[in-house]
Amino acid sequence: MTGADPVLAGIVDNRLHAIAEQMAQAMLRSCRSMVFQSRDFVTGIFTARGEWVATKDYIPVLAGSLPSALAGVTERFATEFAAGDLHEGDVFVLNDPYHGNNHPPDITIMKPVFHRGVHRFWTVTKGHHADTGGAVVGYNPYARDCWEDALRIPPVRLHHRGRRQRDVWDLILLNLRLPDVVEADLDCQIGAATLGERELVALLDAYGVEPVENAVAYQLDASRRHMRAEIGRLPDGVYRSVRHLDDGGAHHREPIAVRLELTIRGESALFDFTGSDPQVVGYANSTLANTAAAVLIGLLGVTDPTQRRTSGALAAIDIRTTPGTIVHAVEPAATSLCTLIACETIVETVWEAVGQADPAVTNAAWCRGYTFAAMGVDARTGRPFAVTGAMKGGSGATAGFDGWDAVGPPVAMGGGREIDVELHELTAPTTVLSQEYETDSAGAGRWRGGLGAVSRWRIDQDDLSVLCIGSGALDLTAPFGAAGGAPAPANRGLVHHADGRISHPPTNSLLRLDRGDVVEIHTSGGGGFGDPLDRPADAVADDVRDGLVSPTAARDVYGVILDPITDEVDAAATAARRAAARSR
Amino acid sequence: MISTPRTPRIPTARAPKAPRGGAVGGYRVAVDVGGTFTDLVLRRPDGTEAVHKTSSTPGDPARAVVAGLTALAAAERLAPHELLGRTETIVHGTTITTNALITGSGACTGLVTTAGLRDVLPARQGSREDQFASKSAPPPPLVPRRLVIPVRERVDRTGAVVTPLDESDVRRAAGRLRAAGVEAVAVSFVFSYLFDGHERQAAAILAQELPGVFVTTASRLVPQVRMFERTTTTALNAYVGPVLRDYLDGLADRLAELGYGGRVLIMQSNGGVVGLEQAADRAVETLLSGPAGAPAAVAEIVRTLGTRAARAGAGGTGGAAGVDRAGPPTRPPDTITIDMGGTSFEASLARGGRTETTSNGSLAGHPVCLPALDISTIGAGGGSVAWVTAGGLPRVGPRSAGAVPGPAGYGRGGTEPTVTDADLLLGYLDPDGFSDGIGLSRDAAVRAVGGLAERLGIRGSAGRHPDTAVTDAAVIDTGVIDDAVIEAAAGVHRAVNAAMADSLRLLTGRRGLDPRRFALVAAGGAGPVHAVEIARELGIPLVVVPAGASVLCARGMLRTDLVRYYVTTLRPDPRDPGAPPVPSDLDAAFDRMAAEALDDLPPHLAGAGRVGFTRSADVRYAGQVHEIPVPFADPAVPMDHAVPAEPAGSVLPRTDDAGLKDLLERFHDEHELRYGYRRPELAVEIVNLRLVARVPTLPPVPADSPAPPGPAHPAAVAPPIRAAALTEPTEPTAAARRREVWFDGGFREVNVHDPATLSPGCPHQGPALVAHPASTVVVPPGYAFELAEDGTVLVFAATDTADAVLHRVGLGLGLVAGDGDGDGDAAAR
Repeated sequence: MTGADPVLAGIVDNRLHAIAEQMAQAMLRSCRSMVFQSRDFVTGIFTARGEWVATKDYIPVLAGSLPSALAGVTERFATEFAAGDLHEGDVFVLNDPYHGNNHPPDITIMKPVFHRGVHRFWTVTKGHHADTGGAVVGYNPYARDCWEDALRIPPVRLHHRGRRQRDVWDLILLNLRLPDVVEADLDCQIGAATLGERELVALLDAYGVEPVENAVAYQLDASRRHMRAEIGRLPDGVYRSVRHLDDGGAHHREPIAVRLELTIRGESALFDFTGSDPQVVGYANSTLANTAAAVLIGLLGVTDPTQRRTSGALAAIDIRTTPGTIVHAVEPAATSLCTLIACETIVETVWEAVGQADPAVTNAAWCRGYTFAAMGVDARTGRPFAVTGAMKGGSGATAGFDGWDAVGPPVAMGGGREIDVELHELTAPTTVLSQEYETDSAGAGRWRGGLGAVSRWRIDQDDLSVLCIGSGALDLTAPFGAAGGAPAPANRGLVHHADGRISHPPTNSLLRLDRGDVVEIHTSGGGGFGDPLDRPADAVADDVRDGLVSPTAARDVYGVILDPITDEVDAAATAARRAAARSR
Repeated sequence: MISTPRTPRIPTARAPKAPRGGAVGGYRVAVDVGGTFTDLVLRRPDGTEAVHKTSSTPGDPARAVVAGLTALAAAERLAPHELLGRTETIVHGTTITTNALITGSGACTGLVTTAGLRDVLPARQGSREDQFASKSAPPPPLVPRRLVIPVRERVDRTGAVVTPLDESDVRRAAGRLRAAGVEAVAVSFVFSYLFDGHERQAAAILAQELPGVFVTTASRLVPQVRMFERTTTTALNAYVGPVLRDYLDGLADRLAELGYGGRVLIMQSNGGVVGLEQAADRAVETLLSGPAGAPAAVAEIVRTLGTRAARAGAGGTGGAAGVDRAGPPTRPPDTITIDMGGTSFEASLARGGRTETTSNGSLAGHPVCLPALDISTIGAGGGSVAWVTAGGLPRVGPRSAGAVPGPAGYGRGGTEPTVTDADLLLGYLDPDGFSDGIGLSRDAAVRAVGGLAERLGIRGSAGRHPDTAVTDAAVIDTGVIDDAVIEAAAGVHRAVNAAMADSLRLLTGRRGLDPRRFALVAAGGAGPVHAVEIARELGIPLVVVPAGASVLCARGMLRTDLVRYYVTTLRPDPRDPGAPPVPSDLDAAFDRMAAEALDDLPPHLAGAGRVGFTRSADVRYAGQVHEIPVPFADPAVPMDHAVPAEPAGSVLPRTDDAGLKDLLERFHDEHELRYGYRRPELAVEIVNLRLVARVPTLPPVPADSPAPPGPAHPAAVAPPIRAAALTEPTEPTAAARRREVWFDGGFREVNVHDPATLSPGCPHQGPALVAHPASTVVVPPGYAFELAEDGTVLVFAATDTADAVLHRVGLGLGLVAGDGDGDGDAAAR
């Protein structure tokens, strides 16, 4: 690059990320909903041209689809903007998956940043709202199309020249069950975008417009080169993977295949998903924006983790899809669960394909999201609430490292935060009876997966609406092991009714539960990496002492014999058992 | 003195009479044991001070303490027992708990918790800070899962017992813990902040079953909502408790052997001190024991500056700012303090001399939710490694070359380019090395930074060596450093300054504060080297480098107060959570806390009517998850001027509707500053009330001490420490030396001033260096500096004067009006 100052580019890059971080911290401290509190939101900074330059991505799948959301606004308002109708103090909002968003519960807020009268940047925030309308609060497993999914908000102006467009707010809020919570969280998003705006103006003041623009161009190019260099380390070849979603919602109870053909050639990577199954009637369909975000997560999970998530990184890869398929939904497909189950499935295809190229860099599969969520109005306080009650599952092992326990599905890569058990019980009429790691829930391996958990929680109010959502509840979709590591057991859930019945609700269905009913949820651990017979016997013995692996599994799976009294390794018996197992 | 904290003692039984009136009184000693050095400051009865620095003895830290005391005594021409016999107070800061945590050498710890919730602690809320780092392991647990033992008990969200504690479970747990040989046990049950009976019951059984084992309960340590944070804090307390207890026992014995009969006060993370006997119970509150000393020293410097600012205002010497004699009174400047050393970079904020506290801190990845000085560890200091991404973008840190091998320039085998290497090549550091004897190797630094230049594709601005690899040995041999290497070094210096400025921006931005209204206080070996450039980045008009910055923490420890924090969680009507609070309810809660404080504080101090109280409330919009702490606008009570007091009830100001309205109004303002919006039409909740009780431990200042003229600050000022009073060993230097130093794109020969040879109050123009024994103040062109009477170096814009800047900062004005071309608009928005 001519005229570029790499040092200034590094400085500006840091500063932009610090601003995105400050925006996120402000949201965390000023939000109202428990969903925001669990960090289900992201912030981002874009150039006026729509290039994504910085982000704070607690939930990476939200971040990876920010560029298309911004494009949704600039396309819809192309005529107005061209005519000069874009002003300081404007704020745009959107949640529609067919205008660039990935799924409707995430509402995107975009604010243009003007410096001395010229539009230079956008600040963007996007978060998962407590309610976005539709037939069911949150996720609707019965949605057949995008209108049954949620209220569709196309790109519209919420503020014009700094003035609140009260009529637009009314139109949105009237369609929601929890208008107060959503209004407060939207204000929190707009506040964060305004903080970002202040800081960007200060940045332009400090360094001048042209130096900052040159620095940004250099930074984006460096990000692209960085990703290309990382891809270049994988051996050339064509690698294939097929992974499945359990189902598409209540109206499509069959597994749906995502098929990836990954071609690595030099520093370029082509992710070809054109062989994937058609879109379905149901809420699991992935928009193209969501698919791109998922590919980026998969790739960042197996390359240099310090890389920036920018338009530059996205520009280094090609993604090919067929419109009308599960990975490229077109109107009128419903999409609200795509950030969870479609995203996880796509990430798994990337990790499985990369594992063929070089197992040493890949992840064994992580748990998939699977939970029960209760919602309604707390009769004690009259306040609306929504809670999930499952401790999360484990992450997959990698060459050299056990997976992390209870860290949740790869859509967040551990960026979320479990709501504290006390806050849970203070805000919802439910009681957490137990939330603990489950023995033998991880995939065995030289490095084992992180632990999954078993959670039991009781409903303390009659006629509560409880949603069972997620995937990974089939052997077909349970977390796979890598390089000879074992898969982890599938997710599962059941209900112990107060009257003594036990029921097994299908994944992606809505139940009505009453006082005294107890929900029991088992989340998967992560897949294992490498042969379990190669795991050091002492590590296995430690796992037994910590209650993570049963003595039976130590013997049968790991070939490690422990003294039943002292839990010490019986070295001779272990060696014999392992030798026998290897010779089989 | 023999201390056996296992058997509680009544502190007054042994406590010496509190000094009165400052007329008599003995010596007072502060001892700050750090990782490398143990710093001691002795305050003589006449208020003058002496300093001693000795190497720490990490295997047995008390040994260095004794060695230091012995040396101090010798310097006073006293035998150790003579000095200690005349010493009334030793204030001690220690890194013993911090080291135990960082090196994983804490106690073997068990956790007894509510059945069903065994994994609250290890699951870390299901999070991973470094999200994409799949090839990494979580921080090692404080308590291995096998020692997390569930017992049957349950309390519900209202504090009612649902399942009584199963005592046999507790006994069984004790048996398992005994078998495992634990030295400490934490007890943390769900909702114990609402009902502590089960925890107390369990602790009693454990104490009985496990004699000599350190037992700590969550409800006593940190009675507030959120089980995860409460449990980590309690487990940490258990993990470091026995370590601190054993250390303090040994120290007390050694001091007793030396004839010491006075009190020992231990520095706490919250900036206050606590008696040696109580310290181990709340060991988790000593995790910042060392760094917590600095703010008190800064506070004193700032008060001195505030006095001068007031004088400047009254005397009209601040003509540049156009000061009106009848203008608003100035106050001590708000400050950002940076402490940048070889392996650390810490920062904190103080407003009006009082350092902000936080209850959301964390250490080594473990949350600690007790109030502590808000000291952020936000970087790796001079050892930060500069590197280039695979895409060609330069970055500095977060990885550090550490103490070993350290920067390449230390010549201990380090090969990676660090901030220190860049500083050396640019001439900011003395090539003859630091005062501690480390010589610096320019050749090694050139090689390391040269490699960086190559990776960045820097060929030298003049292009004189287009075809020569910059690491070419011939270039080094000639002693002429390639342009490209210097350019890369300058890039590292610039980049790290910007990165540190980013961190400070986050620190201020989080609170909605504008850094341009602050002064920057620079400490640590590398702090003064970078401070002015960081200040420039942030638009900060004044840099303050304290004299004796290398013993700043120890100096502060001499000046700290006894401090206790109290919190009351209000329980609003669940059916009408937005109902406005009733002033009399608030007063009742504050009175209860004040009564508790007067009970807790040593009677000879509290009874003397010297307790100062600060009231604040944690406020939020109804339904929000987090609160903002908002202080009540009570009449200012300066730290060293406590309110006269009898019964607690009459100590505190009464709350009225106007006061409450004012509190809420300031909440809306604060909310908009921090988060970018306000919603005054929404209901507001007061969640917690907080009371801080503070008792000065220094004798009141004699009435004849120089009182500041002007209306500003009625507080008396402690006698300033004159530079000459500091007996820190320094090598006498001849007339100002000259050195080649990089400024604004080229090398220039500048003066290297020795502060001992400068006259106070005399401005000097940059570019220049001011060489302290352990650090160098870099004053770039366009800046001026002067030595203040207390030995502090002030740096400010060359077009300005120290008095004018001080006055503006004291007014909270920051940059001169009209300066900065539009910056002011941006800030005002």
